[in-house]
Amino acid sequence: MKTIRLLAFGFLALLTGCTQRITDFTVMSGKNIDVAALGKTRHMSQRVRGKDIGHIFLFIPVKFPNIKDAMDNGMEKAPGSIALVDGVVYSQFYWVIPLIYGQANYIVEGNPLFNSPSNPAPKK
Amino acid sequence: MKLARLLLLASALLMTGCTHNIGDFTVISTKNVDFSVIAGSRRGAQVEGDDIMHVIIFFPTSGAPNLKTAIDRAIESVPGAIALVDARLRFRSFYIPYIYGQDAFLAEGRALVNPAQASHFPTKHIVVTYDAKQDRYIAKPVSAPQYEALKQKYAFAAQS
Repeated sequence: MKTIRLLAFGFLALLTGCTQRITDFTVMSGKNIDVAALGKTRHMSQRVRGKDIGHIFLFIPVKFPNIKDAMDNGMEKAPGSIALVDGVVYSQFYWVIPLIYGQANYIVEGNPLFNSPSNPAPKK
Repeated sequence: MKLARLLLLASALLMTGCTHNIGDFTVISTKNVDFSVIAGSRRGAQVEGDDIMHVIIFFPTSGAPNLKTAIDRAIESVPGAIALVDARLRFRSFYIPYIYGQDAFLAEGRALVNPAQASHFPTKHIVVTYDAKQDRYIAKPVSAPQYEALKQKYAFAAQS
């Protein structure tokens, strides 16, 4: 009984996770954009959120997460966007099944920026 | 002997480290940038910034490293820089068991410089001297106390 309690306690202790804000940014882009043209842009008021998931099996990370992939995933939700502005990047880690499977993720959220008028923001 | 081997193996396993790329960006900034100003900006030097958390034995000497600090340090290394272009962000981690380790965010890229914000001289005080032999004027930036000292010295000389 004592062993089961200890195991349950250990299991609960490992079932923890944390999300940490690692940076905020005024502008971020991975697209091939003309930086000089940023002055002729407009941004959408609705925020988008993208996530890139890194998997950990038995302590071994099989895929490292990437901020650029997280940003691209977020920007795909706003087709035609060329950058994200006024955004935040979070780093997240937790065990789904303690010591067997866990995830390390990057989450990027921000307002998508559009070229104006060739890439107008979609109406919501 | 067996225990020593086991400890050695455990140490070797723990003595891991890696640097991995967490993103490449055409433009990234943490500063309050006016986008209309970016059009008039020019590409400056290649710069680097980092934020490092040291681990001594197993005690961290600071909080977790912060990506914003790394980007800020890279941008602030060039006067007047407002963003990084062609930037690369990396995360580095290593640990020599029970001795020393590091976790760090590294940012590198080319500084995008707004000429209006860039000041060529580090201070507002400039002393110009005339070199009679070479018949030329030499401008030299000085600190405020140095300027005041020179001003008093030459004002005194002029009066006497």
